Amino acid sequence: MSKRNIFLPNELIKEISVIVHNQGYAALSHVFKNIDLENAEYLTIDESEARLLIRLADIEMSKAILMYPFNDDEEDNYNPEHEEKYDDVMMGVYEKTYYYLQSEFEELKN
Amino acid sequence: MLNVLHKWRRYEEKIEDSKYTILGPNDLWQFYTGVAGIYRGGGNSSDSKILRASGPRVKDVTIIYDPDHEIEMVVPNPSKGLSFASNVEKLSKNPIISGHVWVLPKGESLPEGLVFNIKDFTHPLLNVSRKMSLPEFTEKLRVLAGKLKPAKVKIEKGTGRIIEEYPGVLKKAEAS
Repeated sequence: MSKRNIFLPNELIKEISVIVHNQGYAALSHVFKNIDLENAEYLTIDESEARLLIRLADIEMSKAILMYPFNDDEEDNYNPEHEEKYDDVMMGVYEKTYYYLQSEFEELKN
Repeated sequence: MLNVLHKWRRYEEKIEDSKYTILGPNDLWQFYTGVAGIYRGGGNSSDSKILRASGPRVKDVTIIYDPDHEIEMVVPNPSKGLSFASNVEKLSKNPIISGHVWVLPKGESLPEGLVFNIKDFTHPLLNVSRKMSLPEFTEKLRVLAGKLKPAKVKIEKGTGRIIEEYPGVLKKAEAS
């Protein structure tokens, strides 16, 4: 598969890199080797690696659903702290990873 | 729908050239014709939550410290922004943005200094058109938040199921 340079905000690259490192995601560790983490705004990846990054985003979202279940302000057990942490994942690493990868890999929209 | 596609085709070349089209307060609704509004997902029942207590996310906008004025500044970056959607279905799958949906109704103006960066017609990104201080940006978001209305639709967590406040509310909005 051909590699492409994909723009992602530096803060997102750093966050994903930390997850990959801390979780020991060997399938993705090579993507973050030899890049300047403090300044990087591009990842050089192919479609299969993009799909792995989407899988990572899905896992982070699944974890947020399990860890912050009381995020709904219409439920009796609503907890604003859960809501904020849930949102940070959903509108952060989850939504942004999808957006930037789908912008370059149309195949990922299906 | 045909009208939307026609408009989109006209702008496609421009987007291909520069990757992103930047739409300010005056041209937003000339671009987004045939839609009921621009949608924001992930809200709750009383708030669109585009304003966060802890401030804007650095993944959404570029924030740089200005040492001369000793203040954090938000600077334009066409590839970043707060995510919106051109339709509710977009929020319901790949990725699922759960929670209440809010809408900037068609015809409603953006506050000066804010723009939408568009690479994907269905996914406009809200950002600044000029450098401004973080408090000024926050104030712009506050004004914009006041213009957003409940779409009376909720996206179910985990499944992406679209839950209408009453049957047909989406169709009614699209027809108006």
